[in-house]
Amino acid sequence: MTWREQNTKEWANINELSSFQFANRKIEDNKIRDAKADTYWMATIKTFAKNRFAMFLVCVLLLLILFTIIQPYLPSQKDPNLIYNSRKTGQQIRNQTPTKDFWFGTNSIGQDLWSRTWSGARTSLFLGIAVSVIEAIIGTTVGLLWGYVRKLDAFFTEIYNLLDNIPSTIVLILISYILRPGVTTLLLALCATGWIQMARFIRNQMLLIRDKEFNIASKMLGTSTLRILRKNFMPYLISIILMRVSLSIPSVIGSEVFITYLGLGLPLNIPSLGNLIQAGRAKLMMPGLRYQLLFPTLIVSIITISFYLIGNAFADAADPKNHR
Amino acid sequence: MEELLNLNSISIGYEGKGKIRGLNLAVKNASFSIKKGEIFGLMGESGSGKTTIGRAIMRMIDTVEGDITYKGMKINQRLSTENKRQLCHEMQMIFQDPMAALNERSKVSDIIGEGILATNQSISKIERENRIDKTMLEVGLRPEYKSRYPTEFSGGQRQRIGIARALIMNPQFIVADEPISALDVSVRAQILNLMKKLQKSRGLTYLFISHDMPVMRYFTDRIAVLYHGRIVEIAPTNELFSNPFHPYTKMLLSSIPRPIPIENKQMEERGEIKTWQKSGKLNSQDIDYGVISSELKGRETLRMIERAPGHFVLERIEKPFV
Repeated sequence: MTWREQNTKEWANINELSSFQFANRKIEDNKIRDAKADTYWMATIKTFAKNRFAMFLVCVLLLLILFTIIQPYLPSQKDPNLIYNSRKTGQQIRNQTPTKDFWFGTNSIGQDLWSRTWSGARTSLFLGIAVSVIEAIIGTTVGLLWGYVRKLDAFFTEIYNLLDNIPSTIVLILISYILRPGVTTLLLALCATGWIQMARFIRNQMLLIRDKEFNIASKMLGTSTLRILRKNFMPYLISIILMRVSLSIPSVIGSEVFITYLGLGLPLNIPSLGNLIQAGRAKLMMPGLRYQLLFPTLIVSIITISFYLIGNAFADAADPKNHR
Repeated sequence: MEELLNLNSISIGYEGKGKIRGLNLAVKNASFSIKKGEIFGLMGESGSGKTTIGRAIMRMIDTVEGDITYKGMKINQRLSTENKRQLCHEMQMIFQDPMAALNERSKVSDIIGEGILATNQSISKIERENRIDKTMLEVGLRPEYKSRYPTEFSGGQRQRIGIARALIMNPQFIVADEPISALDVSVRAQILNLMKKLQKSRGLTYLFISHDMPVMRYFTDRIAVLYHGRIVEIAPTNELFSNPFHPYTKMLLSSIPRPIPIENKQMEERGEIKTWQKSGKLNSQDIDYGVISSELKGRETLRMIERAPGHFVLERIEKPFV
């Protein structure tokens, strides 16, 4: 045996002895990190809550909604519909740029824009949220039926073709003939046309998921249809529903202007963000009066961007690959 | 041994043109019976109706005609809720693709426990968790994994989850629809051995659907060969592989890859292509099922004939006078 061989052997033996030994442990002792004991929905919400930026936007939105609600009860608030006259001249305070009295200035007939903006935000937020929630409920229900029940597919497709090919303007004009203008009518008119798009989105997604094998497996295990819809479909649909809702809130605020133009919209004594933007847009060419457009647009932007980003963040959180 | 499942001249069709069922028959007049405790194989090329038969047994597809009886009860008809629940506990299925067969947005414990939650509400939550743990250990998964999502597992582990989901119902009969064809070669043996082990420990009966002939030879007791929706040969496995009668079976067996590249393959002798290539349209009449073909044209019928004990072959015979 050469010196080299002997050395190598010793080296190997020492290492074998020191590195390979029985651990004398049971498998049960090796506890695996097991933090995710929540249900899917709890984990989704927790993941969403970890997203700082989304939570910040939620806070902004909540504060905005809270402020629009309590604003009329704060001290020294002005009536949104009152026309203010100057004490000196007795004339209306028209197109007053923001001052200490009128924080957002006044409009072309001398109404206070601060209170009009918040009053408008109240109306528009209520309309936007109510319409998109009603749309989501009706659209999801119809979409689930449309996508899940094979026999109803042709029926709902024909209904979709029928409703989608009637221009919504005509439907709105017809409704404006029948009903009296007001918040309820506006709600009805906006809901009447929007849900079918939602239903189509849901249906298309359902067709992708419906024939996957895990649904067949669930059926074979004796799971009821309602539970299959809740457990197998909803986790995939929730991101689409939320995205549609978050996108339909700003679009409702926009289309309300159009409906007002048709004569179906809100009466003059109820300001809305749509009305304010419409009025402000007319002043766009006059650099001194652009503040009239600035403030309502700012509020609409905050609402739109927040809802959109929150919807996106929730869609991300709904994917279990991000549950960490 | 008693018969567990019996198929009596089953025809299954998908909706054809004009929504008349039975125009496009995927399976025609299939009859076989599965004994308790045996592994019955369904073999055939893709599109021959193997999966269709499996799903019809699991009552996912309606049959056009014929009876499927399970323990003497006809199951291809409307059943009461009680019978349906009972069948859920008696028959289960293992799926081909472990990626598609598990809901990726549901946790492993929810997937495995779904069956007992759906059919037996009297079981308490603690007992359910215990049963989930026990079943997971039985298929070789650690119970700590149960709060994970299926995306965090490998293909073999996902197939084990699929098996556990079926096993927790304590079934007696399992339809295994190509359970290994989507798996890695190294994992196939594990899954097959697991299935075999479970068959021994629980006394399961399998309907094993596959097109992988070496696996069928290793795994099954009896095999039915399907060809364009018809069963052309039923025989015990060893008998079928050593002594095939039907030309299609011979062709199928000759297509097993062998390490002799020069060997002449019978594959090229496929008869059915000639006729439909001429007309451009494939009719069921053009497919040559029989051993004897040309002489009896117009007067023949198809029958299963017992050539050897337990070895049935589909043959064209002369129509008996009515």
